[in-house]
Amino acid sequence: MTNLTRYSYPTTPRNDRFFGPNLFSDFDRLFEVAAKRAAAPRAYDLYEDDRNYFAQVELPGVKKEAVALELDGDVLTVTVTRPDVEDGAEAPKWTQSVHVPEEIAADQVSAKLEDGILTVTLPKVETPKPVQISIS
Amino acid sequence: MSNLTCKTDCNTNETSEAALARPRYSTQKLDDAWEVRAIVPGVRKEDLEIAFENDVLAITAKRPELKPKSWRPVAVRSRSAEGYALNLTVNVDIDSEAISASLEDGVLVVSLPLSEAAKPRLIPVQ
Repeated sequence: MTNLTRYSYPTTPRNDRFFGPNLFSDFDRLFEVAAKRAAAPRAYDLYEDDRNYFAQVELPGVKKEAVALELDGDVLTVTVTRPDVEDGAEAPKWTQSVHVPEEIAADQVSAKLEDGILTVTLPKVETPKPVQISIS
Repeated sequence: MSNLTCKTDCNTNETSEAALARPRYSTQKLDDAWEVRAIVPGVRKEDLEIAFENDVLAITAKRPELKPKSWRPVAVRSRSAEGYALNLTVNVDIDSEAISASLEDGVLVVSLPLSEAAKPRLIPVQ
């Protein structure tokens, strides 16, 4: 009879040196707990209507200067950089990507960050409608 | 041990019955005040109600509808609460007249200044 033992994955201790008792420790905990709970890392919420995709993610306490948004093909990536770092240390980043199902008009993508919620609007490329071809 | 203790729905973030979720929050004692930070994305100033009565700090926030009706979900992972509610019992003497709060980028910071009697006193040595 086999004994099944539960294997607990080792957790890396968080390095709090950079943060101290400030807002980003709450921010860290928020995303850490969410990441542990969900099967996949915390992702955008993705919505659509007829003309656009909308990606929403909660970034409480984050200023837009700390956010970098990149669209590479059909992958949208958000990177948040912690603002206060010690001299010489690299700023810690948090990054998340989402795959957008359809073709996107990259030059018309817009984003707004309001009340801690980032909303990215991605207009869909209009697919040409099927054309009827008559046979002469 | 904190002097600010959660009053209702404290053991879980999952309040599937109630529409108001308990936000992630922290409390910290500063030199002359207690500071409560609550993470409430999507909440604007006009949606917030903060009351202090019978030693209970009650914070209620209703989120406006963030998504227009025309939006169809494609991949939705988060639970979006209709709002947040947080009730903290305050076990320390504070100056309730001087409570202040600020909301920025979805983070609410409430400052509860200690009353004069509760402030740390430097005792001079004769």
